[in-house]
Amino acid sequence: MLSVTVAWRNLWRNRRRTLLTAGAVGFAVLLVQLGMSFQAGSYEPMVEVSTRFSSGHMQIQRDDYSDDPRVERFVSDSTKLRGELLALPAINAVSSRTETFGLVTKDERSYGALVVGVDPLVDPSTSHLSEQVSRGTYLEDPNSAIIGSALARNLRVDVGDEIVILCSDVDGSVAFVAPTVSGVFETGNDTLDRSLVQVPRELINDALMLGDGAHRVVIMVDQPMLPDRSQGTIAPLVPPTASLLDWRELMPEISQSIRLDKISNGIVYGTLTVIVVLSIANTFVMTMFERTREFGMLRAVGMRNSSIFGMFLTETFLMWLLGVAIGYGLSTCALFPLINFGVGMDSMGMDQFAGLLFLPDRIYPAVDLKVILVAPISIGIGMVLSTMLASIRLYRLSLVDALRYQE
Amino acid sequence: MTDAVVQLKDVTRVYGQGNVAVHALQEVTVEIYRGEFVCVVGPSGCGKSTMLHLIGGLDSPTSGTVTLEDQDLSTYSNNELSDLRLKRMGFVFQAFNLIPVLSASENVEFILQLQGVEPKDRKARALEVLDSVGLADAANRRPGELSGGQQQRVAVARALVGSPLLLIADEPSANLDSTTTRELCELLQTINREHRTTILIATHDSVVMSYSTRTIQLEDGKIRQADAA
Repeated sequence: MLSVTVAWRNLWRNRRRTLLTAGAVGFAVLLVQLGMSFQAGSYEPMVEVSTRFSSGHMQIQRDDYSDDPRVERFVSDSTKLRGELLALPAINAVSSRTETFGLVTKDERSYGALVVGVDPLVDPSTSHLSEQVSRGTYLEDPNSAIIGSALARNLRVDVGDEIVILCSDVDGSVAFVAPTVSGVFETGNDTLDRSLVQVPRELINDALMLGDGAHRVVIMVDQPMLPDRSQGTIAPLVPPTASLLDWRELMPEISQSIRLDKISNGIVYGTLTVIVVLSIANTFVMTMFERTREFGMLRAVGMRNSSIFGMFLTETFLMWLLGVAIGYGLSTCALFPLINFGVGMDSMGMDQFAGLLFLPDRIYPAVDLKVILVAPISIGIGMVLSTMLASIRLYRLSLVDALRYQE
Repeated sequence: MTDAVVQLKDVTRVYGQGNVAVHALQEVTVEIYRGEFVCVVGPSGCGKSTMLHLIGGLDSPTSGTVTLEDQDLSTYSNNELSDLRLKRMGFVFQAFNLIPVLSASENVEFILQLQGVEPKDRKARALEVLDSVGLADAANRRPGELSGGQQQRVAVARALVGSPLLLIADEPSANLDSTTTRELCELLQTINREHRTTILIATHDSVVMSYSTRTIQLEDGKIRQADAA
C-alpha cells in the first residue's frame, strides 16, 4: 500500500505536468469517444433507412437469382415460408416480393422499369415506400400501381391513369397487366423514382404464372447490425435451392461505405492516440532523467529494478486512471445532451450528404462497450509501452552513475 | 571463517580505458571486523567512495575480490545484491537521499515494506527507531520540512531499521554544521556500541574521524596508512 502511496504522491510532485499529461489523456479519450459514438450512432440508422427502401435486413432468394435475376428463378410456397419465419423470435417482419423487368407504357410513351409485386397489407412493415407516396394513395385496389415520380413525369401519367406493363412470364411468353395508378411516390433517390413500379403481388403473380412464388422473401430482424446472430436461427428454414443473404451482401455499397468510414476514422483516432502517447513517452523519459539519482538511491537501499519499474508502472496506471476519469467526465457532459436530443444533419451542413448516404435527419450518438473501452485501452497500452521505453534507462544505468547523477 | 565482516583482497577499480583510464583503487587489501567504527579518509578523489561502493555491492571491482561475511560479492546476481543490501546493510548518503514525498516515518517504513514486514508492525518499528535517533516528534514531517541534521538522522534511522550488519555512510557530515556533525557522530557511536553494528564512513572531516575506532587512509587509490584492527 505504501508503494501506491509513493506512486500517487510522486504524481503530484509536479502538479502542472501531471495535470497537463492527464488532460491530454482525457482530451484524447473525449475526442475518440465523441467520434466513435457518432459513428456508431450513424451506422444503424443508415442501414435501417437504406434497407427499408428495398432490400430489407435479409432476404431468402434462389441461389442463382442475384447473379442472373430471371423470372423463373423464384422461391415457391412463399406464404408458408413467411409463416414459419414469423414464428422465429428474432424476426420482426417478413414480406414476399415478386420482381420482373418490364416495359411500362402509356399511350405513345414506354419506359423500362423494375416491377415489384408486394402484399400491400404486409410490405409496409418492411419498407418505407408506402410512406413516400406524395400523390394519391398506396396500393388499395387489387388492380392498382404506384410509380416513381420521375417515371410518372416521363410517361405523363398521374393518379387515376391506366398504364400497361409488358413482361415475360415463366414460360417466356409475353404477359401483361394494366393497373390503374393509385399513387406516385417520391423517395429522393433518383434511381428508384425513375424506374420503380409497385403492384399487388397477386396481380403480377397471376400474369407471370408464378402461383405463390416469390423472388425475394424480405426479412426484418431485431438486430440488423448483428446479422450473424439471426442467420443461425433462420438457416434451417431456407429451402435447399435458396440462400439467405444479409444486407451486407444485398447492399454492398452501404457495407463498404461503413467499412471505409471505420478505416478512415480509425486512422484519425490511431494518429491522435500515437501523438498523445508520444508526448506522454517524452514526459516519462524526462521524469526518468530527473529521478535518476532517486532511483539510484532506491536501488542502493535494496529495492530491485523490477520493484522500481513496478512503482513507475503504478504511477503510470494512476496517471492513466486520472486521465481516463477526466475523459469520461468530459465525454459524459458532452454526450448526455447529444444522446437525448441528437444533432440535426442540416445544422452541420450535411443534409445533402445525408440524403446520399441514406442517413436520417438527426444523428444520435450511440455508446457501446467499444466506444467506452477503445480509447482508454489503446492509450493505456501506449502508456505502458512508454513506461517500458523510459525504464530501459533504469536497467542500463550503473548504480554508481545513478547515485552521482546531477540534474 | 574469519571474524572479518568485510574483506578486500587486491582490489583494483579502473574507470575508463586506454589513455583516459582512471585507477580509482589499486590493489587494495583490507579487512573490517564486526563492531568496528572505521573511517576511510583521504583527500577528494582518493578512492574513498569507490571503496564504499565496492563494499556495498553498488559497483564491482576490475580485479580482486570483495567479500562480505566470507561470501564473494562477485558471485551474487543483481537481485541477490539488492537483497543483501536490503537485509544486511544500511546506507547513509551525503545528500540524505530521502524520498521527498514520504514523511520521516514513512521513509523508514519503506525499508520495512521492502523487507516484507507486516504493515501493523512497520509503523511501530519505524517510530521506535525514529525515537532512538531523537526524531519522534518529527515523524509526520516530510524531508522538505526538516533541517539538514534532522534529514540525516532520518537517513540514519532508515539505514538502521532493518538491523543491518554493516552501516555504510559516504560523507554523511558534508552538508552539516559542526554541532550537528557531533550530534550525528554521537548517535552513530551509540549505535555502534549498543548494537555492535559495524560502521564504515568515508569522510575527510576530522570531527567524524575523532569518533572512529580505526582509520584507513587512502591516497591516489592506494592505502597509505591503516590503523591496526
